[in-house]
Amino acid sequence: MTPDIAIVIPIYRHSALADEAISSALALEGNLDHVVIAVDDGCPNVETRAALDGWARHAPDRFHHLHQANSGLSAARNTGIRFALSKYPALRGVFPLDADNRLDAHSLTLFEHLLHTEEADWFYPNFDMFGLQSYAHNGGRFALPLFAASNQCEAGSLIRREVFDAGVWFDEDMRAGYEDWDFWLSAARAGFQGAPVRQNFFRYRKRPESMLSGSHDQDTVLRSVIQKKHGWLYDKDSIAQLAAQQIPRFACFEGDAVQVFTDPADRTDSDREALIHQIIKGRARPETEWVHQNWVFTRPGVIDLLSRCKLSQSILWHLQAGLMKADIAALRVVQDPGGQRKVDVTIPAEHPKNIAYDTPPNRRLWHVDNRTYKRDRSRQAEVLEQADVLMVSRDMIQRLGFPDGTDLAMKGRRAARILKAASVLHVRAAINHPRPDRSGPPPRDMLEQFTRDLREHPHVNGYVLHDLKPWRDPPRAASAKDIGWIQHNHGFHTAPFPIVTPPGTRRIGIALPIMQFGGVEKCAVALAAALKRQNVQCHLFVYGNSQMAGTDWLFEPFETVHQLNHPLLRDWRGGQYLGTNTAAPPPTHLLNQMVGPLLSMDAVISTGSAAIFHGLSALRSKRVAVASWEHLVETGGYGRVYGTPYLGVAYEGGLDRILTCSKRLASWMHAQGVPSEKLVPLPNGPGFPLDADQVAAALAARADRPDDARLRVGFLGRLDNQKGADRYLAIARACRDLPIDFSITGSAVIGESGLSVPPEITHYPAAFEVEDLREAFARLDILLMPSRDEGLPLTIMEAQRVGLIPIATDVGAVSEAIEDGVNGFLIKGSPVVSQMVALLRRLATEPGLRRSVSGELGGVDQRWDQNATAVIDALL
Amino acid sequence: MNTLSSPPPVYLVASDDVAHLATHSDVVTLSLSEWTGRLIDLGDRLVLSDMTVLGLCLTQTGRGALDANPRLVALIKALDLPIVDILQDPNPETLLSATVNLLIQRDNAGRTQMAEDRAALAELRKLHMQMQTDHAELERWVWDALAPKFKRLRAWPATARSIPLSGLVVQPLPVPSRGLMAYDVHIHEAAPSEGRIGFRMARPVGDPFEGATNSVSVQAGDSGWVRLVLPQATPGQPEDAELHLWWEGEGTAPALSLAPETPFPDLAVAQDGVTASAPLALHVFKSLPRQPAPPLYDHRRGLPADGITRFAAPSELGKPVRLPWSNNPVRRAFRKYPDFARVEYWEKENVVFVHPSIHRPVVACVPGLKVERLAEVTGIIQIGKLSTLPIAFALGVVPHGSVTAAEDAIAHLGDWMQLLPGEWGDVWKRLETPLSGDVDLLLATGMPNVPFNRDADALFHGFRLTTDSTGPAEQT
Repeated sequence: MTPDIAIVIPIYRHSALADEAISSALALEGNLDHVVIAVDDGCPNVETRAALDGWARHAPDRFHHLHQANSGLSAARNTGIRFALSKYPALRGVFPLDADNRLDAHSLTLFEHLLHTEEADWFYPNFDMFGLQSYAHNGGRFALPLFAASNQCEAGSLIRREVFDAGVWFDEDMRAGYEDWDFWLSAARAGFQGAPVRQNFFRYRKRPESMLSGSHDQDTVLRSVIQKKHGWLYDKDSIAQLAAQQIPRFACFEGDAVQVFTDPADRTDSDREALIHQIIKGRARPETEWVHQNWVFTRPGVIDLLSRCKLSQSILWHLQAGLMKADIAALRVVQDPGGQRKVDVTIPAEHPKNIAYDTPPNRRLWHVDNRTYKRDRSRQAEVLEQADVLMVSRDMIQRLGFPDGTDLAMKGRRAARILKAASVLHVRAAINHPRPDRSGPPPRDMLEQFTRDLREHPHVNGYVLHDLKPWRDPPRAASAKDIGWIQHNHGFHTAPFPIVTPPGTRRIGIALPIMQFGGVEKCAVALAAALKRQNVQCHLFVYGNSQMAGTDWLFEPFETVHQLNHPLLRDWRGGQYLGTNTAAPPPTHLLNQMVGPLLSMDAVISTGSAAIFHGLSALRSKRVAVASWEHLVETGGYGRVYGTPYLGVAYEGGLDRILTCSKRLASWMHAQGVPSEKLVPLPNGPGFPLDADQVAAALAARADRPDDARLRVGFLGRLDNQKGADRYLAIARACRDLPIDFSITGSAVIGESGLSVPPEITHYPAAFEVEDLREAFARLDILLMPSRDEGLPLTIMEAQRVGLIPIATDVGAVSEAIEDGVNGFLIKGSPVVSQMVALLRRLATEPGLRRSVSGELGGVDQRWDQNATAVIDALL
Repeated sequence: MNTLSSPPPVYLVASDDVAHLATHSDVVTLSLSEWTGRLIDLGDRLVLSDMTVLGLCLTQTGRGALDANPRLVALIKALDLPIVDILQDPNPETLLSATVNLLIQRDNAGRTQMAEDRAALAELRKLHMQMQTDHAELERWVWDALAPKFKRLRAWPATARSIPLSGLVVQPLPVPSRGLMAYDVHIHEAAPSEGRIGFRMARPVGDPFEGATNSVSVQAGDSGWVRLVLPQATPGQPEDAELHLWWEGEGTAPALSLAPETPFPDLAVAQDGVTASAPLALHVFKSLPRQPAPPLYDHRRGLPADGITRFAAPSELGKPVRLPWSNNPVRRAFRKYPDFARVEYWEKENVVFVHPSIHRPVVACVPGLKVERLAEVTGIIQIGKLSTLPIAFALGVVPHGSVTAAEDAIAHLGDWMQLLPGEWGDVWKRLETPLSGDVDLLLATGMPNVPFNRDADALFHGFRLTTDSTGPAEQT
């Protein structure tokens, strides 16, 4: 006999019930041949062996009995399956049947049908239970994100032999339960797919005390084992990514166009009728039919505009996250008069009766809250009217589309009441671009029209919706309707960030507390640009409470820009570590909102964002690599040093890596107790982008300048006491007799002393755009930096790149950028002013010396690419 | 197939140095090393396959070899195999004696087990017999005393679309197989020719349900709902099922109406493997499993050929009176439910209102009707509100004053008809022996064991009385 199917029955203690399982398995009828393999897993009952002996005599050609020392359910199944596969090489499938369950007589015919007609690798039954009798169906199509939440496949499933041939077996170490869930996950990991079988064939004996009940008692422990073992499914935002493959998260109506997407960067056209059809199906069978979670109604061009600002993902996230606190989330886009960017969220006020007061409110407080609530309600109505984008959940669409009522008029009135009573969350996005015309129908009208279409659709009236449900009860396992909370549950109780990345894409998030025109921000931008050149996606997370600069080139290297604007994110009252303040712990919901979107990243680099340290353990639990990027140890008024590098030391245990802006700072941190393996020095390079042609043109222009031309000496940036403002003025005064022009590009007020720029020093306004910056460097020959304290200033490398000669005091890590006399000059010791004046005197009179130093790049143009490589090696 | 004629062998394992002494012909003796070699090695454990081992006969040398193999020790312990120590350098008789002892032990254990199994079987048989008796009694009581005898599970209305009944038409059933008894399908237009509609209840994959095949005749010109009744309500466990239909006749097959379109292909009807976009217009009825179907009203049934039919409106009859139940216990589960049951005549609507109870049927007795050779009475029924659950209606007629209690009235009722909220229909009672003189109409409604009866406006509108001039009249 060459059987096609082996039914493997592990037996432990079910000595009497096993007869039912064996009997039902032997009684199967069909065209396929099958064998029954009973595995006595060291059952202490003598009756088991007597029974198996008997069955071996009853059906010697179709029954095998194996005996082993007790090794657990998984081991017993494996033993039987191994035996079957080796004894019958032509076997096509295996069915593990637990000793207390049964098969229906037509199962074998059904197996034949499944193996011939279906492409899946395993086939799982409905939950047809006897004993504690119940009937539940097995949900819709097989979907991994649902499977991540709960096991939908009973071990009693037909499994193709290819699954075992690929090395997928039951884990023999999982003796406390959920070994079947683990098995299916391993199979899915190996690329196999399950399929639900609609027809009954398997009967599960449900008893109040069963092994499964026991494993449910240990649910938390076993789930953590499963999650740890299957990081490929549970880590980062894998579940959200898989959910996006099942169904796009957003259905978007923009004028007449209808699109569906998860990531607004990748939208697919759809049509209104198909979406109506989908909602109706979802209403009739919520457990099996997939419906888009969020419904977006937008004025034309708004999403495109936000995408150009790289804010569309962030805004959609804010809207979706807002739906946890309101029925409707509304967006209003405005142009910021200051040319900045900012995203603000206003949560709808609660009615006093819904507020959880710490102590019972007195009458006055109650009235204040009530007045606030009423004022807010009228504001919400206005927001709803004037919104550029509205987002509502699937549930809200169904409430509006299927209100109670006996006729259309009554349904319409009830829907209008629901809409009127809905709470509205307001998201205000200020951007540095003109907002699009408010053309097209208002989103509120679009929402009303769509839900009206739904109510009046002939199918809604024609169907008796409850008659279309399956006869079985909904499954107790996760189903299509649960996809929202599953993502929520596995994403720190907030909305997943709406990006979709193809497999193999590497993603790094850079988190900053502020995004203005500072050195740290420019470093982040330069590193992101270099990472992008090495095919790593970079995403910017601005977690603070301020506006972002409106300078577009700063955002250019990032795929998305996400801002979370909350004062508690910049609250530095969390106690001191070695004299440096730590961030106050944010409230849980805020921490979740901060950490949740970062799950979309493979690695997160936090620079200056201290609040994020409170989420380190959360991020690491999801295997997101986290690094802190330290830049500068500052010196306070009393000469004590402080700064975020101390926080890097404070949280070192929770960080995967600590990046430093210089080798010197890395040494400092090592000295503070950070293991050297954890330190990754990223010596700074130029802070704004110039391509090779622009660099060559700048160098050529400088080379063409006559040797007898007046020397142009200047400073770029904010010139304060730390930067040696007084020294700079003194040098300028001392060089009056020389053919030197002094200038400052940037702040007109020098330092805290209130010194003003004297008229003989030319003052240029601060430069932000790349072209202005290029021009600022082009009008200088020498960059003078008489600083008292520094990290590793970007300006030095920017100057070196275009042939400027940097002259700087040897403080901080400046010596890492300047090799004295080769690509600049270092002034060591004091007096600084006289040394610098003497050097300028030489340079003014010795053009050969200038030429020998100017244009010596010293590898600065490659610096960020090297840094990016180091980051990739360290974090990805 | 039982193959006791060639039972698998029984094995004895003996130390390597004594295995050759085996003399017992019915027991295959293996040396310890040979036996160990036959075991399946799965790395961390050994597995014994398809072998019945009596036990082990070990010399001291054999013991030493066994103890040196912990996986083998674990297997023997798990199998609870007896180990017989035999002296060093034994003779064949020693081994034979040990073998016989092991056989006797095994035989004793087997007989003991068999006795326990027999005792268990006897207990099961006793329980089974008692259960059968109890079941039969319960069944009779349910069948006779409780109404209705069937329940309509699904009702998909007919639309203007249809499919011809050519080839095999397969309609997936949206309800489990257990207890299914009858179906209504809708003939779209007048049937073009005479023939039969064959039908069976089948599994999507697997053999059809046993005894669930039948056919019903169709006359040329028939249209509307046709009832397909199975020989008995389907027994067994709840299963997924399909209704298969085909045409048995020489002429053109009729077309069957479709229900509204469905978004779910798993509910849509298929013809010769091609799935349509809608299910059949269909009613599905359920009853007690294994029971033959109770007579159901057939709309196509002709009136008595020579009878005279007249109509009687409720306004022409006397005031309805609710018949009491002599014993009216209330189930504990429903004690707190504010049950409502009432019988009224509504003058404005000209109807008899019989509001059902959740406990047992409510029967109204309506006097004031004088008949001559009454053979059949039918009534128009309606559920007046949408916000309720299905209600069963029945109608009966008895000589005036002969029935004064509800339990007596049940036996005189016709077949129960079930309506969904808002629906119209009719009930009927055909009399075996015609009645003459003053009679009382019995109007019954029921929704027993349904824990909700608000808004259950069960209305009887008007009655059609048909006389029969052929048979002898019964004197009232």
